[in-house]
Amino acid sequence: MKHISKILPAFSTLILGLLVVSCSYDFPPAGDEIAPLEPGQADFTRIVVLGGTEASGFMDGALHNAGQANSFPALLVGQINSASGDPFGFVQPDINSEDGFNPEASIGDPRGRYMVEFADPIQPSLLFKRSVAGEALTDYQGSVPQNLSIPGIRLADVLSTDLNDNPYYARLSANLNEPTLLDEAIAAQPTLIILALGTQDILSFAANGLIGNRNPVPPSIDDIDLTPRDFFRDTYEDIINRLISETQADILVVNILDFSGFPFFTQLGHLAPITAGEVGAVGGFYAGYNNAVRVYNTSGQGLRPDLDFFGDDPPSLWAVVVEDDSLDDVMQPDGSMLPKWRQMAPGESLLWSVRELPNASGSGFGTFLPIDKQFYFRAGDEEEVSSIINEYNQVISDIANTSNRIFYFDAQRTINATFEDDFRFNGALLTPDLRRTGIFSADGITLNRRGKALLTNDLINFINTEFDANIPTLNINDFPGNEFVNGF
Amino acid sequence: MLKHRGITFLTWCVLALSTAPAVFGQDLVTIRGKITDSADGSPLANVEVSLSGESIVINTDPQGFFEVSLKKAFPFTINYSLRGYEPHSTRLTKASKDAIAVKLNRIIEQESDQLIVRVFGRVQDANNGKPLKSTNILVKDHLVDGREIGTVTDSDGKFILFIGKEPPFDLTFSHVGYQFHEVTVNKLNADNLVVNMLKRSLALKEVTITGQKVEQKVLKADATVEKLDIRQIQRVPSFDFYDALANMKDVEIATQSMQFKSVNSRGFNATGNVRFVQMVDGMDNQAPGFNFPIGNFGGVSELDLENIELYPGPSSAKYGPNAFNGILFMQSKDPFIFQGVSAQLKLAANRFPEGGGGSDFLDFGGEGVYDFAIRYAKAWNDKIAFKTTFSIIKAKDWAANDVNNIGEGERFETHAESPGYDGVNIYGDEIQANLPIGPLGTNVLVTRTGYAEENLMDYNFTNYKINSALHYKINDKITAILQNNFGTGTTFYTGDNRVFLGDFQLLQTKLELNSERFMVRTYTTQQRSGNSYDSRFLALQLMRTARSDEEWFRIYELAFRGLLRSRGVAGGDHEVARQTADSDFGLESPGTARFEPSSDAFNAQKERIINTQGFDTGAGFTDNSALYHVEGRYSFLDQIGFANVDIGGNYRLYDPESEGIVYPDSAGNDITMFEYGGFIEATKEVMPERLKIVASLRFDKNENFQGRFTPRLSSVYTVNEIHNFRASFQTGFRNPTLREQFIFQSLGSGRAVGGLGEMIAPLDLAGNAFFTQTVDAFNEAVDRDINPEGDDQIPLNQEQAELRNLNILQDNIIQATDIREIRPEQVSTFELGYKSLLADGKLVLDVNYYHNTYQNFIGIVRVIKPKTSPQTDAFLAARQVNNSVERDVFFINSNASESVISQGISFNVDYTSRGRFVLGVNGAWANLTSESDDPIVPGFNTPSFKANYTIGHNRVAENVGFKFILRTRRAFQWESNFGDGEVPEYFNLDTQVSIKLPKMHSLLKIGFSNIGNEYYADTFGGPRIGAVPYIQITYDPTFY
Repeated sequence: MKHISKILPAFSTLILGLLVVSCSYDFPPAGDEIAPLEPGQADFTRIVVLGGTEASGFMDGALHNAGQANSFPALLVGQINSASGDPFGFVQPDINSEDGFNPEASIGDPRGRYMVEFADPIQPSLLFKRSVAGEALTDYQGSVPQNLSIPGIRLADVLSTDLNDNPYYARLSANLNEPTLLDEAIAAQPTLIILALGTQDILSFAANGLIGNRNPVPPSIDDIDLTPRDFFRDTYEDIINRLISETQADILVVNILDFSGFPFFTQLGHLAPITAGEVGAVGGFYAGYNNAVRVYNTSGQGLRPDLDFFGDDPPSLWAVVVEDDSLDDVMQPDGSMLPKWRQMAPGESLLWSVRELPNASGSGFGTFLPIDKQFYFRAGDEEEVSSIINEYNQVISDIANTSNRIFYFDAQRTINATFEDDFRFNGALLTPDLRRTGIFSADGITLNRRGKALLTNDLINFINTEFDANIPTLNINDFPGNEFVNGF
Repeated sequence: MLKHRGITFLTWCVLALSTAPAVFGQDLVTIRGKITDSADGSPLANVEVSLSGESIVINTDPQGFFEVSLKKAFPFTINYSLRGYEPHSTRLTKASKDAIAVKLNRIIEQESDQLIVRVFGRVQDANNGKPLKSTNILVKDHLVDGREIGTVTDSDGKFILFIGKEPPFDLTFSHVGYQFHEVTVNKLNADNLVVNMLKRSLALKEVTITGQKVEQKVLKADATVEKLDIRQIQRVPSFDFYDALANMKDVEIATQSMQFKSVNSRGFNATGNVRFVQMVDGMDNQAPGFNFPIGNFGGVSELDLENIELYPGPSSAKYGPNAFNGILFMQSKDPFIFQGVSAQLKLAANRFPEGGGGSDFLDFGGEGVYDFAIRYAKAWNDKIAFKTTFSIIKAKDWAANDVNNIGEGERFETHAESPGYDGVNIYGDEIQANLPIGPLGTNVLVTRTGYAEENLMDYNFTNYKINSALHYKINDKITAILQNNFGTGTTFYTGDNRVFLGDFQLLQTKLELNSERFMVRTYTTQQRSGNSYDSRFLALQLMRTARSDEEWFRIYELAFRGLLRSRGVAGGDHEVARQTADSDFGLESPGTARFEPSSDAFNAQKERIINTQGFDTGAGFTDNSALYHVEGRYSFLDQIGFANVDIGGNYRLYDPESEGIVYPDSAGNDITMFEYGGFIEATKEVMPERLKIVASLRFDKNENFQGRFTPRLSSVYTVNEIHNFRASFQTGFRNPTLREQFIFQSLGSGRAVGGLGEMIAPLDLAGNAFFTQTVDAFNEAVDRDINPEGDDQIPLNQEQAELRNLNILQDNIIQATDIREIRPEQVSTFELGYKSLLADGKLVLDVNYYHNTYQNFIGIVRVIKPKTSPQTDAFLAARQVNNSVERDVFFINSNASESVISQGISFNVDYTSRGRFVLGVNGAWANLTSESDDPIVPGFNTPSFKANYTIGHNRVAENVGFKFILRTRRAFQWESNFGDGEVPEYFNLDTQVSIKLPKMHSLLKIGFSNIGNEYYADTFGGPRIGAVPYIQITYDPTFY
């Protein structure tokens, strides 16, 4: 036993000593903490936004809770506040509606936001839209909003005292204090103004198939007309001058997205999704018309395209039938004019504004019923719209260069980048379409939540660079894409 | 009869012998002869004539004659001694009527004054007086011509020495299993020296060279034990003694390279086997960064190996939590006992082509294998002894070259037939994407081209090992040992990926104090990863350097769709699409989109990538982890009245250093982990020599887990001293290893994550991820809707089908309770055994049965987390879960929720025939009795039946022995992080013929393992092993 008395105490001491001196390991604190906000030269104390459809949070053809909560101004301020110990207030005119009000789809009962649906098994990759039940707009009850963005307004509307035709403005008007939106913005004495206007000045014209007046005389500009460029410039200058002179705020001007390639204008393409069983009926329907065309074409007076619906032709020739006023006038033997119909060609596209897909078994839309020019883009239209947008953006850019308080944010850059192959955020694909990877909402024009987050990130990066700030960016993958009708 | 002196004695002797001829079976021999001076032929009187192994000594008469008659078997040696003359001896091999003529040389003049002292004596066990044969005897501090003078005792423990040195002088006595002994010889005791040797203390492990087929200790062990002693090790019929472990009945080997073979027993085998402990001289020789032993990389050279003991099955109660599947002890030689110079040279060849040889006559196409070891040990006195062993092996390792398909398509298909091909040992081809290029826009799985392992690994290696130890006896009972084991070189292992360990180093340094009653030991294990790299990441980086995954798949899709027809690329052809994506098509600057193996560009990129640390941009990794261990044990023996009681305790600290590559131990986050434990064991002979009961209780605590007790109760019942029945029950547990707790390593196709809550929480899985089974079920449902069986069902496209089956994902999103923090795994084991030595020791019979119930098995749960949470957008997540760049895959260490039961029977029958041929067969059945669908449960990875058939003879002719072993294994399924698949059945014949060369003190062994060159792998994805002819010569005067 004498060993025990010698060895055990020594050994026990050794063990205990090691236990004492050995440091237990503590995990470091979680590394996802956000760095405190450093605004740099920016002052985020009071941000006011004068904007249009996109800045309002409009999405899926409606203004509804999800879109509004994810408007790029709201996301921007949210990120600023996530890093700020003392959050800045930012009031949006809450719509308080899950599905919102969809003015395009609401013919009778109010309809709400669109969802995307797979058209049918005939052409499985063809997507279309379907609205859900909506709610009529209700008056806004809160304080004067800082996001003064109104869906559907043109540039000149912020100077207008008569905007009540716009239901989205009308719901606010009772709670606004100033005669115009610009006055309201100035009255708020913002520290930073975001000006995101001008889209609607071209969009309405484009979305109606370019049938509107390209050179209307202000102030008589119809909804489907293009805002003349000079008028656009004058108006923009007026707005900027007042903001420069009547506020101390830095002004962040957002250019117009080049929407000419957005799904609204490209998604539906030119083909009629009809079956092989239906094509014979359509072809038979146009037999007389085609015979008249043949007579005309053999007359040597000119050439008119016939309507090609033959069962043994490939479906790629079964294109939608449209009206086209540019076709030759052809007088028939009975003195009547031969209708100016043709089939759409590759590179042309139906517009997303159509209420139904072309068919041969229902209304015959696009087959038995030729489609008006209002609902399609022909070759060259897309390029024309794109060119107009660039001209208007040049106007904005020129004006921005007149003051060092104005910062020109090129919103096109990041959205256009998604049109390049394989645009990804942290591995996840982002595509410029309506698919589940898409960044556009079900209305085909406005950005969905992923798109809005993408745009916001680019804006944040712009602000951080220009103002030497450190606003954290968003994880785009935390944002959902479009909601699909699951009807299988 | 003796003519002169000692007549009475000899008469008695002859009478005694003659009374017992039946016992000894020897004939009466009469020897006569005459001894003369070699110089002048004069007869020499009073020459002492003695016979080896006999105590008889006679003297020549004045005419130089002598004569003796006795019963003795040939051959034997007659020794002659006369002062002033050189000692001489005659070896008689048969009887002869002729007288022996002996001429003695007079010692040269300057030495003529020296005495020739004859020392005669007997060595015996101090406790029971039994003679000790083969005891080594050396004259201390006395060299003749630079050589030590000595002898060994005969079968009666007797010896005789002739020494040209004036007494007093010292003789040293050493015998395996006994304490070193030293005796001073003087004129009084030189004629009748009796040396009593003490058995070595319990603190030193017994050396297991015995004349018996099975030791008593093994026969009466309370647990199944497999042993190999030094002679068995040296007669293993294969190039590497490690292969002998696979010949044990309950043991499986997982070969990962020539130098890295993992040992396992009784199921749940693994390449990185954390459930099996390997001890070298009391040190756990796991690589501390890996938590499993790297075979014998840093262990003991065969030349220095004294014995191996292996305890299959859970041994946690005695040896700690990690001995969950078993424990292997390797004991190196004691420098006090095994002294002098020994050396071993092995020459072999491997990698012979399958199905034929090289192109030229006598060109068999193999590669050379060269292995050399040298050992030197010296005991200066009974206080200090030192040994060192150096070994080097140079060879080209086995290749892992299984190209069978484990991806989309049939097993035999390649990329030519299946665009989703994923070869077993092709790396980089696991990068996949679902491209919408199928009918109706359905997805087609496409994988990148990848590289074969042989293009990524240089299999040539040269490894070194140095083992050194200094033993100091503080007193008769306490010995201090300072030991260093160091191994360095190259090896390969199959972890989550196949890994090249280049310039890898493993060092173990130990300081130990031990005595019969107590032991205190402390050691450290240090690993240095050197220039190691991960072959899969090398492949990935090579491919991605040439062309990004996104770009590669984009070009593939464009090409297949025919969108590149304008550039001369035919559409609709997978091979063309692959060639296009691998070509320089579309590169902005001149270059290549695939580095062809062995090209200069390939080699340059490979060099760059393996020298780049971290798997984001490189393939190299750092793991310079260490562990520090201290333990103690005290044996009360008979100090406590009712039983023999042992107590012990240990403490261990892990200190990983991976620079953030394996663990999250980047700068400022120095991870450590400690654990400690203690045990008490009581042994009681309830019925002396008949019934022994052993009870033990162990407590272990890991820094991150609650402490737990492990009890064990066992008994051995001996009937008629022949039949030994044993039964035992114990519960055991295993704490998660350092890796299982802390790993945070990218694996290419995902990331391995430790199971601690702090490791899992940041992954934010709850509500955002799926188990792979969920995704598999979803994909199967989607496939059914794309390809409906009924004609009346309209096929859906990919997106529609996914939308339709979205509920499968939505209903199975991982919840917070689904992944719990890792816990220790547990086993309850019940074992019955029988062992006996029958038929006068000719037949050994050993049978045992075990039944293991495992709970909370630690394994890997595979989780897929899409970049977008399914709660945010389930439809988007449904796309991302099948797209390798849009998801994160985590291999999380976790616990199974279901219990698993395994059981098995193993047996060993060993029979020595009349002609002393040894015939043996052993085998083991093992199976899971309760299959589990729980994916966490690790693969059983063990054949349902294995058997080894042995035939051998230690002395089939003079100095010649042989051994053949036929090994058979049934095919079995292998599951691991590396991959799942079948390991085909195999049959191996290993052979050796050994020839003892007494004059050279050497053993020559010539053998051929896997004699048919039928390549086989014992793991899925591991190297494939072919034939190895070899020749080995071991110089060891201690034995030969």
